[in-house]
Amino acid sequence: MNKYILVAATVALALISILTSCENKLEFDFGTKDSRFVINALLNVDSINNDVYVSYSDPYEATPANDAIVKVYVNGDLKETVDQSEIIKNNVGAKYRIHCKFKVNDLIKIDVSTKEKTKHAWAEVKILPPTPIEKIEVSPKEYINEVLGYKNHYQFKITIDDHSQGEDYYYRLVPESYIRSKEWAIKVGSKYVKAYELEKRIAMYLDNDFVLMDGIPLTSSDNQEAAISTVYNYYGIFSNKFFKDKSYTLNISIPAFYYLDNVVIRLLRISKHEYSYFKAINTIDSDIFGEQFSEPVIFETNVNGGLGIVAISSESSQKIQIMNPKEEIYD
Amino acid sequence: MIKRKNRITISIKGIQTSRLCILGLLLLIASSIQAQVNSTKEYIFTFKNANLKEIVSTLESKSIYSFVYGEDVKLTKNISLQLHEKSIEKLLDILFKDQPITYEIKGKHIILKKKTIKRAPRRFTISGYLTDKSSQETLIGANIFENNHREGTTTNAYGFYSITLPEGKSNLAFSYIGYESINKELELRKDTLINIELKSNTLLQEVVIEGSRQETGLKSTQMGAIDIPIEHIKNTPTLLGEADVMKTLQLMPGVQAGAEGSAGIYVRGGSPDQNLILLDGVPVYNVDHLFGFFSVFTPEAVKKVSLFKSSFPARFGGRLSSVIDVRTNDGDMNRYHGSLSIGLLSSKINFEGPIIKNKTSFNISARRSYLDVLANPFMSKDEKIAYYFYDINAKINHRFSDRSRLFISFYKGEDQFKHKLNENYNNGYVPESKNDFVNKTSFYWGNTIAAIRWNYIFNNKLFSNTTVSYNRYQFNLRNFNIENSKNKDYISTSRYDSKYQSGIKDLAYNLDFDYHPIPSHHIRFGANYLYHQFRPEVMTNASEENDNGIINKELYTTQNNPSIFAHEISAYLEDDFNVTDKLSINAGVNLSSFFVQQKKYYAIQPRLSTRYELSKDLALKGSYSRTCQYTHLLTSSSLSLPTDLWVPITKNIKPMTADQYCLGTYYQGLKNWEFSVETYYKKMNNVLDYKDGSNFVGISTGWQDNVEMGKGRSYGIEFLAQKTKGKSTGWIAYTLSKSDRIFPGKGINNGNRFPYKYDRRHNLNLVFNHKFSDRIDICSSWTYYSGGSITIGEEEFAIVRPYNKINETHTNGPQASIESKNYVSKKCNYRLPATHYLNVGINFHKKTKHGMRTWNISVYNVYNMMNPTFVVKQYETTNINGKEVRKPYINKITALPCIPSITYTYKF
Repeated sequence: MNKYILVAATVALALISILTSCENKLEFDFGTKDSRFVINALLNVDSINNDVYVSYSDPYEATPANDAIVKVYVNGDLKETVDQSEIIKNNVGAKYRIHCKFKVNDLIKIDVSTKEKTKHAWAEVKILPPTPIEKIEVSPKEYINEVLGYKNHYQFKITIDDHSQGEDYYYRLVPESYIRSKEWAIKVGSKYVKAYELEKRIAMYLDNDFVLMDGIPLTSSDNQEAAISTVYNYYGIFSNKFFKDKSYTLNISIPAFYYLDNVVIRLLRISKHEYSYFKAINTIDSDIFGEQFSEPVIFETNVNGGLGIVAISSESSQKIQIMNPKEEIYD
Repeated sequence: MIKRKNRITISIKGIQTSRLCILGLLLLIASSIQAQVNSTKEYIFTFKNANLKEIVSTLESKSIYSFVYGEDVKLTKNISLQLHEKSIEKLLDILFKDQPITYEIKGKHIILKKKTIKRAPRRFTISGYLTDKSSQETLIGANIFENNHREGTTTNAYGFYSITLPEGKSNLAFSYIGYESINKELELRKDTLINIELKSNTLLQEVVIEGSRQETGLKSTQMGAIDIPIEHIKNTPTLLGEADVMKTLQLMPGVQAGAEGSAGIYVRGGSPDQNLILLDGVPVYNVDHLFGFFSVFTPEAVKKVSLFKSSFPARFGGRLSSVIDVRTNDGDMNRYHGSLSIGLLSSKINFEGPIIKNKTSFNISARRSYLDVLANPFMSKDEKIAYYFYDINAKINHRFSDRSRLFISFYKGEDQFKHKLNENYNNGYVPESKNDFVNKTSFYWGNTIAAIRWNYIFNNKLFSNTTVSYNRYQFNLRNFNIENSKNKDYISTSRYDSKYQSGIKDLAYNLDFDYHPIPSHHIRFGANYLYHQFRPEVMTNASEENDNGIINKELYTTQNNPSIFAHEISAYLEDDFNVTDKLSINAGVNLSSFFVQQKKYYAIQPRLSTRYELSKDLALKGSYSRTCQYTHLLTSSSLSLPTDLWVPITKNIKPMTADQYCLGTYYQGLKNWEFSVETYYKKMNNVLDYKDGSNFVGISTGWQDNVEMGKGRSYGIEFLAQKTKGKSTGWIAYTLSKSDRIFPGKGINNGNRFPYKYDRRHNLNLVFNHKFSDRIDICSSWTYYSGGSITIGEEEFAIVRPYNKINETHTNGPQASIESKNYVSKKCNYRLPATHYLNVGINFHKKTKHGMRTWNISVYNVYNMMNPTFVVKQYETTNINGKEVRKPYINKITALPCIPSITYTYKF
């Protein structure tokens, strides 16, 4: 929220209405729309545990669709049918786990219907080939920003080569930090070996990277006190518009967590739909203005006969070991 | 030979070698000799290359007439004729038509005389300035009418007129609304300069809508042009008694406000940035105070306001939808006087007078709001919030001679908001600790305009105006924090300083000419050059931590979007001319070019408007305008926010263009009433809107990626009936219109057409003013408009957030989250309810020893209509079938209920 502008605008309204503004409810018929399937599936080509979230749209509040049948077609062939779901705790969606194996260039169709076939929705997406990470350079870096609470960071320079041949490519960068959270010793033969439980954290400072910032440095999450707030890139999305058919080195920093074991840099190749979807969520999460001053965010949907987003990303990744991976052995 | 009864038939054919040869046949029926004296007889002659003298002889011999003429009458020419006439007069008319001879029939004699050739009368030009007699203030749009030749003209924007008339007696009438007319008779023998001073007539000062009749109204060739006298603006009842130019314009047909109570102007489906708003000819970029609820024009400084919304004269360019031309007072050349006005929101002062009598004058006016001052005692010592705005208008006017005048004008206006917070606290964990925290936020935004104008009359027909101007709009924001922590062992200080700045700067040079070659032509031509400097934004953030004198953390970041420089050059030619007594045309062309970032754009903008007078009181008009705009205002809000940013077109974003076609009828047959009906169709190309999911908040970087170019169209019909004179005046304005947009790129509303945000089908404005006496008058206005369209989530769907959002920790394994959210299937999908409100004001005037005092009591929204200023979708929990569900509803926020106000004005 750009608090200062909002405060001033609110003061202005208060001034002109001499603190006498009134609120009333307006007639609005929310009940005329038929309930539709909402399919949300952000799938990954390398995963055999992908989740499809199915809900019903509703004038009041989306509800879980736990009576649905989810069918997965790969290149036109039915590969999997799932009718068992798990209700997500806030009671908005039902999760259907699919285990299909996918590969690049497959055409995936997610088809959802009720058992009685009274409702039906589907989406079809093609798996795009991943863009490889050319190289990653890591160097320790002193203080950058204290907002995250870590004084020391690792600076990552991630180089990618764009071979889009002038097309628009879209990406997501997901840096996963694995921290040793628990340790214990397990007996291996006659010796005890130290074992770890790793906790995953997603933390990244965008370092004013031109591409990741979409050309707009100094955004709100980094600088809570910044004069002007903008949409922050919470999901690490970017496009190749600044480096088509060229190589580009992304600059990010990752906090030097205590007991940081390793960092996995994942570069997801995503569709334009997925990119637009995350852009819309970034806008919502940045909460720059209230709805009084701006229009609601409009989401793109690629689901036929329903709503939602079905997308499948391909991925290239590299693991950077930070702590010594050598096992400590006790006698 | 034709032989007929009762006819004289003669045929004479000339032969080259002889002067006269009668080769034809002559048949004369005997009885016809008698019949020659009978008027019913016909004369039939054929002459081929016959000498006039011989023809005369023939006529003498074959009729009862004899010709009498002197030596000065030369009958030497050879002519060929075929005559078949019933009367001798007609025969003679034809015979001497092309000869320097006149005839007169006296009895049986036809007297021939030499025709005296009249020399074409010479024409001379009368020109000069029309001014107010007491103040020497120039009068814009005053009428000049010559009664003998029925020719007329009006004064231009600088009070200058020029009329070319035939030599001889002239009877000129000079008139202006609210002034006594002057008739001047003179013998015109040479080009003449006549400066006229009109005397203000308070008896005629009832509110009228239009002053001149050449630029506006029935007599004007222009369509959709309205002059608003400043008296009317001052009388219109408005919010908190703040007379406002823009809010008066909103009462005209085809003009709408944005949010209720705001001063934003939406003309015929265009957005606010499509209005060219000129202050003494200089474009103003930000015309709003208080986030759009008041405009920057102080009525005390304004002399005249003109609105053009249909056929823009070719001299205006650079915007699509309208031209609002605001002219300020020059200053009284003879005496000092002024006014002081105290209202609930602001106070105003105006003072003017001579610096050198009849040579140099000044006019200065200032306004400041003072709620910050009034609220200050009621705020806590630790937290202060202050908001105010101010305007200063100053003008100096110097007359070098009757031919040469200089004007220097200056405007500065700003909104300022300040917030200061002091906190002192003890850290409970550290004994004897003391912490101070100070936060200061301030932002201010506004315009600075300076202009030098020189009027020079080259000759009685050619008037020139040269203007050099500087115009700057700037927004500055600063946020500063400082925190001191102290205990017996430790002192630390942390500072944070953040600044933001954006704006636009223009340097302009304008050269305009008014040329009156003959009364039926009024030619304007000129050229303009604008040097734009767009400063999208500069941001700096600095922070520092100081522990016991050791600076251990320092951060300085900056974003400095480079300035964009652009050159806008235009030239125009415009002629307002009478084709016939009934048909007049204003034709012109504006040629413009824009150079930005090594890209050049050119535009040819033809303008044409025609007027056909069906009768003295009834005229038909038609017009076509093409307009082009090279700048855009980036904004995502219905309010006018200081973060809104002007940007130029780029190599990817093309200039906006519009073509507007209008037809209309004007009628003035009912005494003191004027009626008009205008229809229009406007299509716009390359209009911008934000793509779905994108918006704008102060950062211009990458804005091109977030917008899409599309098309807009707007059409409607406007009715206006106005009573212009009498104790009761006012008007009824009704507009039926439709406006929509389409973005074929599919980034907005999936490429489907959708209604424009301020597409309001019906708009009705009633204005009524009545003067009971010199001491009391009332003014009232009632406004009705059907609801605009807004975008609102019409159902709920689900969005999923993956587990890997940046800066999240997953101690219990990654979990995606799913959430119910608004789903918007199409843009502008909800119609707001209609808005209507009645404003009433009453003025009590009293003459005092030194001037006149006026109490104005106004009530905004008299019957307290709860109109929607904003609507927001909100949620409440409700029980449906025993289950608690989150039920959405639309919350209507009414910012402007019934608000009374009182204003005191003293004129001295």
